[in-house]
Amino acid sequence: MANRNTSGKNLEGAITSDDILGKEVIDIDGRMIGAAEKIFIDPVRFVLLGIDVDKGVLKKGLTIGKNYIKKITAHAIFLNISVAYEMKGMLVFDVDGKEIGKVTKVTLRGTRNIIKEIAVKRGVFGSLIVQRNHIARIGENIFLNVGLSDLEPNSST
Amino acid sequence: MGKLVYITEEQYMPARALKSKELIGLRVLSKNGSVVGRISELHLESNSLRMLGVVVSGSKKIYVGKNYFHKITPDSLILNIDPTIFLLGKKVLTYDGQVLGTVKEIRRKGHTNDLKEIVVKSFMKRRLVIQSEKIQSMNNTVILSRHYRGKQKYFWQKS
Repeated sequence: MANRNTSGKNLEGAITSDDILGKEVIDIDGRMIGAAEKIFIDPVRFVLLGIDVDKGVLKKGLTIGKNYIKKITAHAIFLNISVAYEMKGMLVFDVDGKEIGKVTKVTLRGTRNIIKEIAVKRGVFGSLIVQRNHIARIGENIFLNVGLSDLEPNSST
Repeated sequence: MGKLVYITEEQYMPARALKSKELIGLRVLSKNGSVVGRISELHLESNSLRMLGVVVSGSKKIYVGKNYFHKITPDSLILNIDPTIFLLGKKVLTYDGQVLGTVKEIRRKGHTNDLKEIVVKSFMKRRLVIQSEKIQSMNNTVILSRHYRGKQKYFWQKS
């Protein structure tokens, strides 16, 4: 049954909560992050603020601000970022390809998707804090632009 | 064992040389940091004795030509490519995020790492062959470009 429209606007191009909720969320690297399970709306201006992403059982959810949403299509929600928290669990290699350890924590600048530093667990050698400026590239795993010996010794915990 | 004796006409700088025992077993990393495997063989050209490439043993056994080497260090051989053969099994999405299937087969240009086309398969549907030009990105998933207009058919539908 067709709805009657009293909005005074042409709603043909609009999307609804049904178009968002349950959709797969995909980051700029093609990584499937999870499913959109909640949307946040500004109660005064009535604009979308962001979405909550369900990453599955036993995994912490994620809230993504609308500025990081590139497009919402019929099948998925695409982000314009590589979600920094997805670095958790990645291996870290120094500039010479020496394995340093695994990322156990990602610290962002405030709530923005900008990495401040990462904590790298080095097995029996404890943990190391690596600053953002030492990260060369992030792909399947992480390459640093310095050697292990160049990382600040008092960063070890 | 005694000290190593050098017999060579060239000015030999051992610090710069790559020794086979250091290379065999060396970890190989792709450009994006994937662990490809470990070097199991070195291949040298029989006339010039130049290194041609290495065999890497991992989830697959692959030969990688030296043109794909970025650098070799005591810790790793880092490639300047992400081997396209590792796209096998990855999900393929349209530009709109619709899941078309998974990569069933990779077809490269000769033996190079350059992709020619992929074959995509999904349950109950016909195989799709997609040219590399129709692929927008190949990372954790394969995402097709907006120009891809192919329609996937069920196996009972005429092609």
